[in-house]
Amino acid sequence: MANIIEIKGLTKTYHNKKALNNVTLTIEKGKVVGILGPNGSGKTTLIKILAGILRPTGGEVFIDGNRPGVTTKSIISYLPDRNFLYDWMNIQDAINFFKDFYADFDENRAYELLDFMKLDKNMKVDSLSKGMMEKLNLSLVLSRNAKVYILDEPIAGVDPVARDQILDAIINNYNEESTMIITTHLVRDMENIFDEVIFLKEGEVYLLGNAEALREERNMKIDDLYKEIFGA
Amino acid sequence: MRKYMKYEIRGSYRFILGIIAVLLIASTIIQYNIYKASYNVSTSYEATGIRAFTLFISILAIFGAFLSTFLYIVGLFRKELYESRGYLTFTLPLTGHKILGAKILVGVIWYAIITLSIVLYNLFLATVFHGSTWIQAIKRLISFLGPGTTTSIIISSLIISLQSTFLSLVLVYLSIVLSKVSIKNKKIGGLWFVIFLVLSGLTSYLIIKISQIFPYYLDISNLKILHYYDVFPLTSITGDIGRIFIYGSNLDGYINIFGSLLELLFIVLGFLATGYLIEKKIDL
Amino acid sequence: MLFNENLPIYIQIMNLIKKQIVKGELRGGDKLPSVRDLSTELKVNPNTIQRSYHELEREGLVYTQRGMGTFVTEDEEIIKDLKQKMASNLVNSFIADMKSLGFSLEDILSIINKKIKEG
Repeated sequence: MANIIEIKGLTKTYHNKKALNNVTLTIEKGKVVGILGPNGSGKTTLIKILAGILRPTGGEVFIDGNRPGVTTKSIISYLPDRNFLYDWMNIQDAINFFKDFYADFDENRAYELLDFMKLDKNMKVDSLSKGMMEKLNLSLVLSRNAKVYILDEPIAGVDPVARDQILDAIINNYNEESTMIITTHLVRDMENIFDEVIFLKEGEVYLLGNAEALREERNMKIDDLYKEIFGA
Repeated sequence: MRKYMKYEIRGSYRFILGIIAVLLIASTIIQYNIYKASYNVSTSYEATGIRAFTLFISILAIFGAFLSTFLYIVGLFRKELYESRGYLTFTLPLTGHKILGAKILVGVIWYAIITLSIVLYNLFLATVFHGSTWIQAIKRLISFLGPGTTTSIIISSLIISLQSTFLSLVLVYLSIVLSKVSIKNKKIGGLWFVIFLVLSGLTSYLIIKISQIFPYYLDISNLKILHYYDVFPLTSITGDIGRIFIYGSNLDGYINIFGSLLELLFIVLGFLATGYLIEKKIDL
Repeated sequence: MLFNENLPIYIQIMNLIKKQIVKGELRGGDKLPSVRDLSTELKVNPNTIQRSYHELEREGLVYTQRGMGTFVTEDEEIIKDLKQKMASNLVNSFIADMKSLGFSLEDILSIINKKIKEG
């Protein structure tokens, strides 16, 4: 199968501190890939480089054959680990915004997802709770027919009901034509949706592989493997 | 880019409306005071004191309104670079030049709207307070200048003020981006202002220098190029040399060609550099 | 649903469906839930569900009709075999466990007989 993402020797340094060190990996089209690691392991740095808002210090990144830039931004649907909507918007404004800028945005799907998430389109963005905000942002991001979805910590800090809704939305919107990259440190809640997992430890790839193969080989759940790798 | 401008406008129009409201109120107070003073209606010492105070506050308000618009534009852009809204803006499939172009155009539009609304409102107030004498005075001025000079003055001052507004905005954005690219830390917030002062000083100095070296001026009314001494044939005063815009003895206006072209070059270069930095160098 | 065993998820899902077949909750010719539905219900990657169905098909327990879905085999023999296999798997692991605790086959038999008599 074709590789949608190729990363070679990727390094990112902040003030002499290496956030990513010589990361090399490829991601196949149509896979759900989990990038696992505790805070500070380099997950968000890696994702921000893919999203085109952080520049590599060294190495190369190709997304569908292109270096991060305007072209890759048009095929990547990115959910940051924070609210990114403008504070003056209501939900309808946010939908219009996505419709205006992303040719692959499916407005009807957005309304379906909002309905599923029990969000009203007249709600003001700055009046939403953390969980509602996460659900809104995810609804917008999943309403694009993007080649690559990048979700940074989609279930961090939300209540169990919201978490289930978010997981459902992610699974329902998965299709073989697109690739999903999801970072999380909440491995137990998410491990069943990954095809592949990549363990990042202190900016380096510690282990990567097919999730089922790893379960078979190590005779343990990915969650237990995570605890073994990062546990005290 | 037009789409992005739409959202820039939607995000800032409330603030701009507020600014315009402040300006109109201040204008009313100033004009009222001028009116009272010119007719000498109230003579009590106390009343004059209060009037002087409100006059002072109103002039301050106009100055403050322009300054806060400037700072507001700066603040909005700094939010994009240092806070989470940049995660939306800079992941849009738009080039850095389109994002920057939209922001600058919206800035120019806001300044134009603010200026225009003050000018028109003050003309309106003048007619209210002074009636037809005011209109007569303007008519006399126009007939004195002649239609050619009037349009040329309006067009050349428009060109000059647009150019300087564009340059200031380009330099503001360039300074903010440069400070972001060089130092990641938001705490050193004043750096952009230091860069802005240096860049503004440098560009103005070069524009003045080139205008002094090449004192050739364009007469918009007939598109003739004149030397400084053609404008002021009988004077030996050279104090005005180096100004990018000069008034002749009949209030006719002339633009220094090389100064203006250099300013244009700075606008283009600044724009290209800033757009490039936004697209290729910024780390959020 | 929680997957607690340290087995690959696809095997756990296969076992789940096998149990439903043996218990008669799924009968010969019954349609299995679509990959997407089951994937949502179990909150498991659709590729994993697909793999379970694939493996079940290889074992002859289900068959796929293009555009229609996946169905439980109507071959009674295969289902009977599955029952036997599951029973013997259970018994085998039970015996192995008992042996590891030091019981002989005779002990095991008498314990079972006693249990059955007690009802």
